[in-house]
Amino acid sequence: MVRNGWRLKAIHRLILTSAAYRQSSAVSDRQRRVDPENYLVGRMPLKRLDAESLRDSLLSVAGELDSRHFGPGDAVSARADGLVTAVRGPRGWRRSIFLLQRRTQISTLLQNFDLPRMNPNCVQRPISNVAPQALHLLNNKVIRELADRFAERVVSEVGDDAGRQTVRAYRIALGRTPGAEELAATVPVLERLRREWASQLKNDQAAARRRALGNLCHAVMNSAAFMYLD
Amino acid sequence: MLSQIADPLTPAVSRRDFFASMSGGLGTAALAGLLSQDLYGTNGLLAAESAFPDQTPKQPHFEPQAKAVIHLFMNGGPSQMDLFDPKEELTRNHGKSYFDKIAGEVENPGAAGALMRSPFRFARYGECGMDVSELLPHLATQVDRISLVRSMYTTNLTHEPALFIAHCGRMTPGLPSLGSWVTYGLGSENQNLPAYIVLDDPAGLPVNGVQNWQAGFLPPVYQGTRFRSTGKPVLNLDREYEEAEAVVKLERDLIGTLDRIHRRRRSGQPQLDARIASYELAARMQLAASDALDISQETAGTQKRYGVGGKDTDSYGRRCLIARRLVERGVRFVQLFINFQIWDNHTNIGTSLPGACRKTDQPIAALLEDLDERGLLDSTLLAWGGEFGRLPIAQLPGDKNVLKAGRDHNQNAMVTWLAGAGIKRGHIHGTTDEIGLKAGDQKVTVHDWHATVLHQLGMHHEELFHRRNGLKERLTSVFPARVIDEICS
Repeated sequence: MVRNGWRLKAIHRLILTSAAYRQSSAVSDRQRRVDPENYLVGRMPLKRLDAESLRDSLLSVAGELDSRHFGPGDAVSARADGLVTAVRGPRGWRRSIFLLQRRTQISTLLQNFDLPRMNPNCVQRPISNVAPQALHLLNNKVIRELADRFAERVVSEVGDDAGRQTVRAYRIALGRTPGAEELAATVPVLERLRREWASQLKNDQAAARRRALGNLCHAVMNSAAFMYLD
Repeated sequence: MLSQIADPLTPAVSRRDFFASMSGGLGTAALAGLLSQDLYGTNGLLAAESAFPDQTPKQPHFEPQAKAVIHLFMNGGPSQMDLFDPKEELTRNHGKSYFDKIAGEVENPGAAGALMRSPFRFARYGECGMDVSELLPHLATQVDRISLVRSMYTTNLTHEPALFIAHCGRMTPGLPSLGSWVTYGLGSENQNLPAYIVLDDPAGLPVNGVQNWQAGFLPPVYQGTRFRSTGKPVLNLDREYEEAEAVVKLERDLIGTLDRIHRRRRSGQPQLDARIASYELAARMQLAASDALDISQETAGTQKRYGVGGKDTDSYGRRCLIARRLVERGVRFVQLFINFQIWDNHTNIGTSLPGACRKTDQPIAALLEDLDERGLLDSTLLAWGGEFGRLPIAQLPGDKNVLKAGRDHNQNAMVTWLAGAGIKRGHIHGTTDEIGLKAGDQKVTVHDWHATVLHQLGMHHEELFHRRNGLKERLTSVFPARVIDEICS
């Protein structure tokens, strides 16, 4: 750092491009035997996305992320039951770092995923793993609607084929194609969801396919693969 | 965690495996008795070692008195000599300087005043004749149900570390809390609600925030889950959009399938087990929690008794009532918090302490009485207390106005009480010195208090452990701890 004029950028680059930092989090039998606590930095720790990254990722895959910087923070609104949500702007929602932070009105989604309180110092972020997180991502209407936006995006890119939709949804949400096992588990469920919706929507096949894909996208947004970085 | 597998100090065949294989061949009661200590120890490990740490009920080490715990945490440090421990010497020596003798024990020396008598009147209550301040008129009617401990002390006089000691046994962050240890050891009787539920104050988090109920190095499934006591106790508990059950089930099952595929390829990552468990629990909670948290099912009389709807008592009253409904349903550990630290009466103790009492006195007394009337007090351990006590000398505000005085932190004496589940009724344990500065006879450490809570639940504090980095980590760590036998019936 001294040689680089105390610039942090260089040290960040050094860390981020190092072999240690770029390792996967897979634990081999040997690592488990020799260094279970990972003192020797033989692997990357498995990481859950922090609150902001998770929210930004949900918005991003749905195509609802307004990536503009600067300016006043996005407003939040509190519901009568206490749920605090960000208010959507004209071009979607901005990144969580541009969300208004009020001590008394903290976004429930961010708080559920361990956003630290703003008043005391936070020396280390806790990572919790509790049922209210699942309840939020499963039952919250805004999240469910983001899944529908995500589905529309998939349809506009690859059309109606269940297999191609599944692959595309994986690529958008996880940055990879699904494995054979995942594909075999997902495509038949998508087809069953289509049949289920078709029977409810009086055989409006187009609407049924859209709704079914919304469920698939919602499931991917709720999956451990989406929430954890390897 | 899988640390024990590769622990260099652990032989290739663990003692647990050894005993498991031995018990098949020999399997006599005598051997089991001889080896009981080791067998107890393995009990403590089972939860963590299983491939899937969960909250199913586990066997305690011995026959328990308590099935559940309600911990009423009083953040800030309630003043012992103004609530439960009257000191004539303070009245007699009111106004005398004392600072020179205790300078090293004062957190804010610049604000230290002279000895200060309690501004509140005391009287004796119940058959046990317990001294209780006029600030706790409701608890005064319940003293024959509790064991008061006057002689507890702690080892840090600053809130944050003292809170960590009270909740986790040591003053550093990142360690498992009492509730996490309890649910790690015992699981829960109810699989549709979290095993460890925290009812924090809707007005704000306590000092140290969510770290007060973290699982630390224990599997994350044992951390506390927060329920809210106003608005909806659990946000997003109900689906906010219309969808046929068949569709919802297909989607939920798909998430489960994908998570299991994901999990299978990532061995040695316990957080993924906890995450699958939390999704499964979320689905079951949707039904069970709505019922448990619906206090409108209680009669108007019961609600009134707890102070629901009362100006000062509504918030804490709701939490006390919900706590009873949760232990009724088999939840193992319920912890109640108050926002920030209402018991931290540095100034204006004459008005700030009565305020704290008004919020909590009636609800807590109602909880004690109600639990007992329903026959639940015999199996529910109630624990009341804060992180430290307060000093016998005054703490003066900036203008040095003695009328606005309060008391500073005191690590050497604090008051706490336990009730229910095999704890003596109407009993007083220990003393403090003449002015309430230091614990006197029958001193009790925070570790003794932890050991006692575990003991009432049927666990021995040295046998409830978790292997980490070659250590057998325990709630009481390496500190000598003893169960406070004198308060156990």
